[in-house]
Amino acid sequence: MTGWLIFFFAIFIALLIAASVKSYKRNRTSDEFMLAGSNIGAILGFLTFAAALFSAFTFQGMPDFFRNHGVGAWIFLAFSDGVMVFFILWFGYKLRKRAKTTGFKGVSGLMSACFGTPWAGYLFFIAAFIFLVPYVAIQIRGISIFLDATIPDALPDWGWSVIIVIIMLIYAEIGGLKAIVFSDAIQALLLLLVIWIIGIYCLDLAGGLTATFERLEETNPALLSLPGPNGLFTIQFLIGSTIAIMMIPVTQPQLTTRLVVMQDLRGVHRMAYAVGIFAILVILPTVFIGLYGAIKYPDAATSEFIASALLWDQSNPVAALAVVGLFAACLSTTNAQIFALGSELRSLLRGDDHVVMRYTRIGIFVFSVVVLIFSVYMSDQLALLARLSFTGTAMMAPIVLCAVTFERPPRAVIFISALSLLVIFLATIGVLPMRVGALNLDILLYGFMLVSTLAIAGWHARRVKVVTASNTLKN
Amino acid sequence: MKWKLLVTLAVVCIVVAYGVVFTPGVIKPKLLSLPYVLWTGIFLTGVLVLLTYLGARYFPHHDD
Repeated sequence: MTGWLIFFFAIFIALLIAASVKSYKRNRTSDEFMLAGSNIGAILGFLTFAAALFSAFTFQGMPDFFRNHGVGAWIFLAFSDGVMVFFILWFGYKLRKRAKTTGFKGVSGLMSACFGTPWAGYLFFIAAFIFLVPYVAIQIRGISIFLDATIPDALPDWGWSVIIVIIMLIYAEIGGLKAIVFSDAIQALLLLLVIWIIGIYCLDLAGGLTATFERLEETNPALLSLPGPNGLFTIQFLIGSTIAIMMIPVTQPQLTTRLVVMQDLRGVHRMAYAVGIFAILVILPTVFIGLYGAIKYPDAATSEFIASALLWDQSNPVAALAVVGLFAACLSTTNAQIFALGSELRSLLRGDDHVVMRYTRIGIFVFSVVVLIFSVYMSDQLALLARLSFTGTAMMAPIVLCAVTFERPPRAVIFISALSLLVIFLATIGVLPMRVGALNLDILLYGFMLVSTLAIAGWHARRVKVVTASNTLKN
Repeated sequence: MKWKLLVTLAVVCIVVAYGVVFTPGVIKPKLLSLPYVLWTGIFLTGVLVLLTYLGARYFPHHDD
């Protein structure tokens, strides 16, 4: 397999270098570097959005989710993605409209400007930092497991992680967001190709579609219905997941930024349904891989199952392509997220452009080191950690949605988001319970945020109306 | 008008999915040997993506 591995890696690295050269420009402004000149077309926009959304978590986490928890995993991610892409139609319009009038360097900066207080931006940045770190670390952890299985004992676990982060930093430093967008496009296409080759082969190994489901109905029928054999996919859990995933473009800055930097709204809308189609296409083969794993490796550890299904059970060229595909997926998603954290930091800083960029680069380096440390100590529950990240950042939805809806949004929603963030954080570290009575904590918090935000927004809208009427009378 | 209709249809699709279609413990009826939750899930995801496509065409606003 080594020969194939070298061959595919050489092609991938050549493509990365080509993308860097194409993106590199001397004397570029910070906006060109951090926001790709806000000129991304529909096709590139779709590929970069899809690549930032579907990553090592999809490649490794989803097959493992199907293997352990059954077909409800489709609703968890694919159905939720369907809801999300529809929501982008409205949110993309409102966000771009707001970004145009207020100016855009990052979501945190936009929040500060909209609310007229830096605290809104600080809060968004803190939430992004706390809950993106585990998500980024998932990618690095995933590929480290995989590379360790491919070339055992060549490097310690953390050694692979360090290599990935160094490549990512060099690449981002040379090309900026534009290079990341190009690498995302390469990754998205590679991911789709590799996952289908492996999916079809796994389905074939399991004896075809009908035989797979018949076998599972005999051995573990709970995998074929809700809530799955471990009882994870309750309706409450799935609704909570749908809300969290619907809020990804609103509250995860790597995706929010992509909606703003696209050329026009038409491109954003085309991108939305293209991502929906991509979601179906990319998640479908993970069903086959996962259910094949449920038949052949029902009790194996995550790393053992992933290495076997994606590597050892495949032919050498396919296994090598899987390694490169996963590496590319990890690299571009990690890049997008770390870079987004850098953009968020930059949008909060004031002063000379060169000084701000210097601090931003230092920030990107610090985020990378934090992620690296986190990736070494985290668990293998990739899909659940991704969900935790989506849920955590979703607590910022009230401030972002009010910021794009109102010209002068009510500051009270900052407290709602801050309180929700504090509660979910305390629950995550085990200080508060994840369930209150019969309700999951996330569902409770979404209910609280919805009711309180609607109440405040209603009161605020009436107040604005009264003040406007009174000013008209005075004039 | 068409946009509002599409939004209504999307909301109905989500409510029906979680309220009626995604029922715990059900494997049958199957479609092409796919269990109930999987084929209904794929179908409803397809419906949402189709609504997104139509929504993109009939969205009432443009970039200023």
